[in-house]
Amino acid sequence: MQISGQAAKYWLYSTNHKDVGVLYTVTSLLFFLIGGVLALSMRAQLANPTPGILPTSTYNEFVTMHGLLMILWVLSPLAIGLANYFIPLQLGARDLAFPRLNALSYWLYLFGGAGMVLTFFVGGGPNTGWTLYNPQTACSDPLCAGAGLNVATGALVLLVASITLGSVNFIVTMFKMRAPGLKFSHFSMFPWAMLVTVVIMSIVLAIIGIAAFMMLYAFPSFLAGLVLLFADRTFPARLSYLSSSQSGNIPSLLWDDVFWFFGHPEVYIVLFPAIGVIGEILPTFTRRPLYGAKYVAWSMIAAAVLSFIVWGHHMFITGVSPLSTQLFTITTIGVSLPFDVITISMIETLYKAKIRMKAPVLFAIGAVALFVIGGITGVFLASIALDHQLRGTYFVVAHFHYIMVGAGILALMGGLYYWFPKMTGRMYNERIAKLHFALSFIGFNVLYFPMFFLLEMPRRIASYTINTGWLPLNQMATIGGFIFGLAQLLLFANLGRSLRNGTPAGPNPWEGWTFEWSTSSPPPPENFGTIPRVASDGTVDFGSGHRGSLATGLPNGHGAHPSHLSRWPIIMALGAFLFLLGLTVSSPPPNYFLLVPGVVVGVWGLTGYGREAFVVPEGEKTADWPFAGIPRARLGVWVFLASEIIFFGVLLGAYAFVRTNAATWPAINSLFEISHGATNTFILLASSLTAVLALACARQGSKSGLVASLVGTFALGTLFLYNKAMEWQQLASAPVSIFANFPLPATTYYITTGVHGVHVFAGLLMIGYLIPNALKGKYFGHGEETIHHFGLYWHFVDIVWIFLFPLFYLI
Amino acid sequence: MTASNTADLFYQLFNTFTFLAVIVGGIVLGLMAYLIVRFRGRDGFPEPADAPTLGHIPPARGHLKTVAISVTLSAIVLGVLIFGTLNATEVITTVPSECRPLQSSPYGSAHCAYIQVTAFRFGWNFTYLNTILEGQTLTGNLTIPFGTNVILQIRSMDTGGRQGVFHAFGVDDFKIKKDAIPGLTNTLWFRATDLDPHTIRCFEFCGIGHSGMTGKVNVVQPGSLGCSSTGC
Repeated sequence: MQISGQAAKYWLYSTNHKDVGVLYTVTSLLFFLIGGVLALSMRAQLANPTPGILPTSTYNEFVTMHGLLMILWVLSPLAIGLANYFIPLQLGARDLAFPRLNALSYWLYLFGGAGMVLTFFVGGGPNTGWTLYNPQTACSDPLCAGAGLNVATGALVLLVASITLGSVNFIVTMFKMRAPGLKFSHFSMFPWAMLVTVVIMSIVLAIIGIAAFMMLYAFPSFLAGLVLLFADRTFPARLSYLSSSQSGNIPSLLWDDVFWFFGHPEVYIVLFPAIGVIGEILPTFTRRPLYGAKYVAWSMIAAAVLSFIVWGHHMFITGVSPLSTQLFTITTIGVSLPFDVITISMIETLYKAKIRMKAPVLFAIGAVALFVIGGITGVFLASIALDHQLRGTYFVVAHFHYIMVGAGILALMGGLYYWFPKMTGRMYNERIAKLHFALSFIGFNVLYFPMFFLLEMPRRIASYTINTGWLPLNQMATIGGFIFGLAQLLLFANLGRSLRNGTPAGPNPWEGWTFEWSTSSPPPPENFGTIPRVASDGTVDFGSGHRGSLATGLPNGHGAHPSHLSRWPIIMALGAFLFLLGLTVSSPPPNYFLLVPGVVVGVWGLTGYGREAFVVPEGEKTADWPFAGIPRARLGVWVFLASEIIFFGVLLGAYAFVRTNAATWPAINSLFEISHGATNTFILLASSLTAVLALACARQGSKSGLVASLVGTFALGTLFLYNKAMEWQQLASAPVSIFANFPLPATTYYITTGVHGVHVFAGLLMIGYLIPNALKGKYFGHGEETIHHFGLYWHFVDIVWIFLFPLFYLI
Repeated sequence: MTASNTADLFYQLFNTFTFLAVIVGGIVLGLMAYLIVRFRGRDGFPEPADAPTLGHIPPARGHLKTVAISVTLSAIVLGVLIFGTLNATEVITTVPSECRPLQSSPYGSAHCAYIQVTAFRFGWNFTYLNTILEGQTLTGNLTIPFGTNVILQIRSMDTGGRQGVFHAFGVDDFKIKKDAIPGLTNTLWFRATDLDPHTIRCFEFCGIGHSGMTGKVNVVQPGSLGCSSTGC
């Protein structure tokens, strides 16, 4: 492949889902290599525990970064890469709903990953374990992570933004851009799994965003509060085994709860795409439909819902109430039921099949087998009584690697082989692929099965003494690790070479049924000549605009050629990266040399993005139940606001947690004056009124009315922020400073109203963008949708305040 | 012979889980292996009638009955496991009644041995609330009486102005473990059934000294601690 200036620009600016898919896939494999090197270093250390080859501090960084990179920068992004490429094709669409946002998602992900790698070079990577438990992460003495951890939290914020945007994109695409006649019940397993995944993602990633944010700013203050409270307290002599109302457990378990409330659904986010891929591969290679596809689909929904009520199994021995542990043990053991249905269905698919033993199906079947082992051992860990021994040991490590690597990675690799011919137009080398499978499968089991027997060895230890007797099993695991790790080189070599030298592949080398196999390999830029149509009897008409050729004019009614290149996503992502780096890399923050350029680049990017005339064809008919008549952009705003609801919900939940566990709290109206809060409430309500007026004026075509309403909303919003700033200053500088005397109320108040204030500020920026365009007459006719979207956002921010006001001022 | 009553209980439950796991896993994986071999594609074999074809949404396949049966069977197995779990959990998390504090005696009617365990970075302090070691705080070594109930109160506190972090106190041989959370006191109880020394380890990552954060449990005849066979 020639790397010319043109090619580089193409890859930097492309918004086509296939290109973004390739970028995600290749980048995730790069991070896989990095995470793998970290893993092999750890395995080498554990096979030589004394004197050892890694300093303990390095080992601790490696174990933390291995977890973070693999879970967040490899597993999900690899799935997202395949999803990017194939979901639009499988739906019969030409691209995702918001192509530029899609590119932006990728660049945010990449810059976030760059930030993570950077942490090794700025004060050391985070070294607290990937769960980043507080109070360890909150401490500031030399034993704790320095700038590295801050930069990591900034990187996490970028990743969360990436995934949030991506989830909104996929949800709108799946609901609004299905081919005519394509019902959800027709979905093959991959789109279905991705739909469930992105819905969970959009709910749950808001939470890790909060977690990252809390880490950056909230916990040091919490820490101060805890120390103060603790000093006043005598150690309780009474027994506490029956009750969780033991005082003083405020911040530490809060992090634990918030993190795992995200963390458990997160591992399903990691797993479900893999299940989807298995569900794609099995029918094609067994030559039978997937057994019980309907039940598998419902089971995924059931598992997704249940995933939100099992998180306590990570906290069985923390001292939470016995009742909650009992409930969590039941829900956790119970969640294996939907997975039973899924696994049994996959195995039943093999019955009376005609299995073509090619690499994709070997990986898929291998993934199912390893999932059985991982799932069964998960039930052990779900038992409170057994967890009292197994917690924090290598039994746990073995369990989750069986799921994440055994089921997750193997299935996704199967997907890579499966779809490689479609993406590149070439077949990979089948014999090397089979060798890759065999070595991976064997190496994997030699690596992880011994760990089930190391149920007395603690996790995250860098060394141990020989008299523990753990050495032989560790050595065996290390050998397995190197076999597995080196086997992956076969994947890279095979796919790399086949790109150039592979046998040319036709459109449908596997004789699959899903829509991507109707196109050329690789598909043309617009995917289909004419969009497929599904008839009520299940037959699919791919039209005459055929696989290899592209119909010359697209039936989008405007005759305009859809845009594909845009420079603004990468620029915006770069701005965000510099900004967050500026906030996190120096101690004390900020680093203006990064912050200021970050703001400049970011604002330039945002403005360019807004002003760019980017054409997304929307004229073609699609299946869009249940959102018929709702424009895509509006649905996108709704979905985004839904994730914001979770975000604020968890933030307020954290406040409630602190409040109910705090021994004392200032009396009503003593610290936070009701009059201040009430005034601001009226101001915001009035601003919602002006926003409604703005929409009405846009609909009536009244330019002066529209501009006046927007200006009025802006003025009221500014007044709100001004009042808030005054209040903040007053509280901080009073003779009885809130920070010194009421640290917990201070922290919860400033963080919660601060986050809300940032949202108000973002709204003001939006109005700042809308007013000049309104003056140019842009928001009449179709343009009024933009005012509507702004209104939805603005009303949402106001409603959040309606909750904040009583919670902080009136109780 | 196990080292404690809690270890006994653990093994009973763990062995039940393992037995069922091996059976279920064996059946499922065995079935898979059989199906793969039996139905591997061979040349000359006809394509199944419902093979996927481009241009057709595949027909539905599968019987609700099969799903219902497998879910029911699984639920029965899982029910057994839940039942066993809740019973065992009740025992290990509930301090025996004779050790529970009363108005008249903070260590229960039987005057059970009470020891405060304080995790710090990076070791274990043991403060004896009763026995002849009452009032003493020793580091690294925990001495307990053989054959009578021992109650441990697990806490976390760093010194020298450093914020305490999570640790987890665990003794492999006793098969018992509890987190040490700053600001919380967690309780752990057991009864040693042998006189061997046992290793204490930290099971929650706590920083650079986590690997070496070990201690020793010494089990002695009750008399040496001023205890009798029923209490201290």
